[in-house]
Formats: sequence, C-alpha cells, structure tokens
Amino acid sequence: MKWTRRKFLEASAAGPLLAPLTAELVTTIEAAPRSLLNEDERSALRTAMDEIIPAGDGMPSATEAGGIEYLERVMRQEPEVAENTRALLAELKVHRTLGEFEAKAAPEFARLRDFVYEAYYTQPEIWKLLGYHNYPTDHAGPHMPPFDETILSEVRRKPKFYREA
Amino acid sequence: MATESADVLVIGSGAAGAALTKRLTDLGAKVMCLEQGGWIKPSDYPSSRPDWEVQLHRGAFNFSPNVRKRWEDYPVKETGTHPPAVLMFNAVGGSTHHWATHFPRFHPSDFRVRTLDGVAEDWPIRYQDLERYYDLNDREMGVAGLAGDPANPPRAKRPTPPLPIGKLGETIGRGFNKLGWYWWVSDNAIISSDYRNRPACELHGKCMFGCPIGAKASTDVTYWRNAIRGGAVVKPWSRVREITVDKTGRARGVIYYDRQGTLHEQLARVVVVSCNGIGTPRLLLNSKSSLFPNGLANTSGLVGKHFMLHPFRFLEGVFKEPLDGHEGPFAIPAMSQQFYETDVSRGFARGYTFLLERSFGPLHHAWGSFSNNPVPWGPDHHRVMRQRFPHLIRVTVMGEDLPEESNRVEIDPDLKDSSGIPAPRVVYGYGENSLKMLEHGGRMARQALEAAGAIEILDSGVIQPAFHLLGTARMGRDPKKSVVDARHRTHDVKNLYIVDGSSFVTSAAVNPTSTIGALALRAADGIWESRREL
Repeated sequence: MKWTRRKFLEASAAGPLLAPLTAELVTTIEAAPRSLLNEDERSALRTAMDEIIPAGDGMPSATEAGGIEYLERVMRQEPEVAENTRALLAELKVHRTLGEFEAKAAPEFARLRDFVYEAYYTQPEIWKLLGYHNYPTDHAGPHMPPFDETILSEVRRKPKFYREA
Repeated sequence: MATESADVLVIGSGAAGAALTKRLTDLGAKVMCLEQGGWIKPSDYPSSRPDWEVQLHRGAFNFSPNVRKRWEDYPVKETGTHPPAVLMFNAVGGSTHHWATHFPRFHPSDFRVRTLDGVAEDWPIRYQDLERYYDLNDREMGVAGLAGDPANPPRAKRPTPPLPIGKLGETIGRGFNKLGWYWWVSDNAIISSDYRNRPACELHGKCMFGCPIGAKASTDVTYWRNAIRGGAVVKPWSRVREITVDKTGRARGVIYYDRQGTLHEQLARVVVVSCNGIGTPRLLLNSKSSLFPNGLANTSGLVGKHFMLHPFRFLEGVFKEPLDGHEGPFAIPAMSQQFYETDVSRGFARGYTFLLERSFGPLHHAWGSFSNNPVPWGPDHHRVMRQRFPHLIRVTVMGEDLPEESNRVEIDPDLKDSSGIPAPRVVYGYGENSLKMLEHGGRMARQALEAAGAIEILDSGVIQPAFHLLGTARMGRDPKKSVVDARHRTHDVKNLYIVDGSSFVTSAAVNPTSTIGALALRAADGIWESRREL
C-alpha cells in the first residue's frame, strides 16, 4: 500500500481514540500557523526523517505520518525542544550523509533519531498499523486470563530454599 | 512564627512517612506531616494520554528531579566512578506515584550478613522482629500474590489473588521449570480484586505513570486516606529547611518554607525524618548548630555515608511469537531467587533476584527498551520493530549492593533548590562484588531466556545505577558505627527518629518498599511505647 499524508489523516480521523490528537493535527495544518522552520530547514528535515523511518512493510514514512507537524507542535509548546531541534538542524547541515552524522556525532544523532521515533510512535494511527492497543487509563483495560497455579506445581514440590538466621 | 506543637512531626509523606503517620494516628498520637510537594490529581497522570511514553525522556512526570525541575524538586548532582541517575518523586505519596509496586520481603539471612557471610554489618533486628509488620503493611497497602514460595519464609494468604502473568509470564516460567530453577509469581502492591473501597486493577499496564483508579498502592490512596480520616494532618507545599534544637540538644521542631516562600516554624515533641536516602541526609547535614556543627545526629560522621543503590542488568529475549508484554500491570509478574543466597563458589558474596518483567509501549521499544538497543534506523527499521514489538521478555538481574563508606551523599557547595536551600551531591561507584555478581547474573539470565525459547538476546550490560536510595543513616547498636538505634531513634538526639531507606544497614537483593513500610510501622510502635520518656 502506498501511504500518503492525506490517506494517513483520513485513516486517523476514522478512529474514535484518535480524535483529539487528529483534530489538533488537522487544525495545525488548516490554520497554517507560521512555520517555525524555513523552507531549507523543512526540506533538510524531511529528507532526514524519511531516511530514518522510510515507508515500507505496510508502514508510512516519518513525514507521511505527520512527523514535521508533530515536531513543530512540540517546538511551539516546549522552548527547550525548539532550541535542541535548531541545534540538531545546524549539525545536520555539517554532514554529507546521516551515516556520517551518526559516525561523527553519535549523541547528537541519537537525539535526532529518538525524536523522529517519538514523532512516529506517538501517532495512534501507527499504533493501529502495529496492532498496538494503548488502553488509556480512563478506558477499559485488556482481558487477560487469571493466573493458573498449575505452572508452579513443580516448584511447590521443591524443598525450602532460604537460610534460617 | 511558631505554631501549636505536634506530638509527632513527620517530614516526608512517601512510603515511610505515610505508614508511620497512620500507625501513630491509630494509636492515638497527634501527628502532622510536612510534604514539599502537593497532592497529585488522578487526571494529572500522563497514563491516560497518548504521549505517556514521552515522559521517559522529558516532562513534568519524568522520574528524575533533574529533568522534571518542578518547584518542589531539588537538584541532585550525580558524580563518582559510576554516577547514578537519581530517581525520586516529590508529592503527597512520594515516589509511590512512580514505583512499579514489587513487594518482596527480605530473607532472614539479609539481617545477618556479617555473621553468615563475613561482609558488611548485621542489622540489630531480625526477620522475626519485622514479620508481623510486613503482614500489617501488606493489609494496609493491599497486595496481590500467592503464599507458598519455598524460597521465602511462609506468609499469610495474600490480601488479593495473584495478578495475571500473561503469555510473557507463562513463557519465561516454563523456561525456569525446564532448568529446574526456583521461581514464583510475585507479590505486588496492586489489588487484583476490589479491596477496602479501592477498585481492582484493570490491567492497563502504565502503572509507573500513575494509576488514576487507585488500584496501585500509592500511599496517597492507601495510608493517607485513612490517616487523615483518623485526624492526622498533612501540609503539602511545605519545604523544610532545617531541624532546630533547643539548648539541651533536643529537637525543637523545624523551619520550613511554604509555596509563597514564607518561612514558618513548627514545633513538636518528636521529629521523624522520612525524606528518602538522599533527602534525609541532606536535611540532617543542612541542620547545623553550635551543638551539632557537623550536622544533626552526625557525631559518628556517618550521615550520608554507605549510600547504596541496587546493581541492575537488563536482558531482553526476543521471541518468535507475540507476548504482549505491554499489556497487564507493569508490576513484576514473577521472580526467581535461584541465586539469592550466598554460594562462595560463584566468586562473590551475597546474591541477586531475577525479576521477570514487562515492557512499555512501541516508542520505548524503538528507543531501545530496557536493554538500550535502539531499533535501527533506515531500511531495516520496520522489520526489526515488528520482530521486537510485542515479542520481548525482560529478565532483570537485581543484585545486593554492599555498603561502602566512599559511596555517599553530601552537600554540594554550589547547588541549591528554588528556595535557596543547599542541595545534595551523590558520589557513587559499583564495588567489585557487584560487578562480579552482574556478570554471573547476565550469564544465568541468558540461560533462562534461551530455555524459554528466545531467538535473540539483547543485553544492557552494566547499567548506570539508578534505583533505590538506601543506607545513609544506618541502624546499629554501636553509636560510632551507626546513626540510629534498632528503634530508629538517633543515637545523638533523644526525640529525633529517622525512618526510611536511609536506616537500611544492607540493601538485600529485593525492591525495598515493603521493608520500608514494615520498618515504619515498627518504628511507630516504638515511638508510641517510648512516648512518656520523650
């Protein structure tokens, strides 16, 4: 399946669990607030994000899943993240490839990678594709069979195994 | 301005302060507790939000005070040959908002390590002294589990039945059975059926990010509810600067800041410090006077010394079949104490517990989960992610840390909290015994995962120490070698008690909270019995 951002947003809107986050995302796009990143930065980021998580195996790429919008939203909410992201973008420019970035500045690259992963795996639509049910604590939890004691029957037959003192 | 005197003034409202307050209130004492944090509203917990896992990296509910930086937090400088990542939480209920709820007990041998194994020091109390308080604490907190583990002394029927262990628990349990090793379903302070006006666990699995329904035993929903009903008073947003003494050397009370920065004095007949293994020595060392120029209760020079953290190593087995480790209570499904008691042929003293554990959600898996092996970026990303999620079982090696005087908490000369109170610095390094233990534990954990059918094993190696703040005002008979006596009363100040992880003489190889609670209940009885002489 070829994933596009439009398809992703349509699919997201279908899930009741996703409504609040999706609504926010759509608002972000429609209201088109001034971008925190200039066109060059967005372009460099887009390339890097989609190299870190490309599309494939039935999964969208990082930017198809709304990665840049997520990142900009968090940058707006958390000044420390905005500052870190700008530093990472500056570092990104220094290197010819992501492989070189990782080899020469491993901690900074790991921060970028982890942030791309965050932008991706906090998306309920990605959860759905992975088969993950979040079970937020204000909804019902999963069903699990009760503990079956027979699995301990061999251990139960063993002798006492602690020292008296 | 000084306010009316309390019978007992408790500083800190976590696992220890809550248990002690409730017990003394039941006995008839007028107890007040000062807590530097506030009440946490269930709706504030991130566990109901889609970005709950982000809190592992940043946010107001991160486990580290250095990351959270809330008003009520104080910074901790982390230094030494293995600088620890210090974890704690400041609120009514303390770190029990965050904890995983594992509720094992010490073994009888843990109180006799010098006599039995020639290391560290014996405790001045025995398992038998604490047993009835363990039972009482189990009932007050609400525990799920199963009696009958042959690797532990017998105990009463657990207040609620065991929590489900799921496919993950069954798979690793079969691995242990195949090896013929001891293991058992764990005691956890989460209720599996409705209990004392609290609802049963609904298995959401985000326990460490707050349980809004109250099935997990954070002390705000266990001890505090009932203590307050009984007349105890807890004052949130009250940050104690120092404990004051009168001219005879008795504790007079404390001076504390409120949220607006106003100073108050609170008087009391008895003062109890329950601020955890870092906060307690910090407060004592900050409480200097002409009578106690080196800090309060510090004639021995041992306040802040013998800081212990449990050595940990995480091994994660990747299995072919999905194991849904993110579902079900994050509490520990099962544990093995096959290597708990000392066997000198292994090359180290004391031993360790295997915790058989679950996972967080997809984001934490991608970041590397507990073994710190990030899913690779690039073309292979989705394939490896699907291989690991949800296919992991974690076997955690949790060893006993031996107390070493060079591992310590002290006051940093520069660092201060937001009220200007000097903040602590910790200095820590793993001892050789701990490193040998983790090496052995790693090999044995690998065997267990292979026996259970793991197709790949991810190993954290020796991790940055982080968990359980213990030993910095230890208990003992000799005032030269300890800070408090067997009843938690300081050797130096007759009406000052220290009741929390600080008073541990040794760490054992189990999570400490059930022992902290049991010690606090026992200390409360001691204070009550001594009330006429205090």
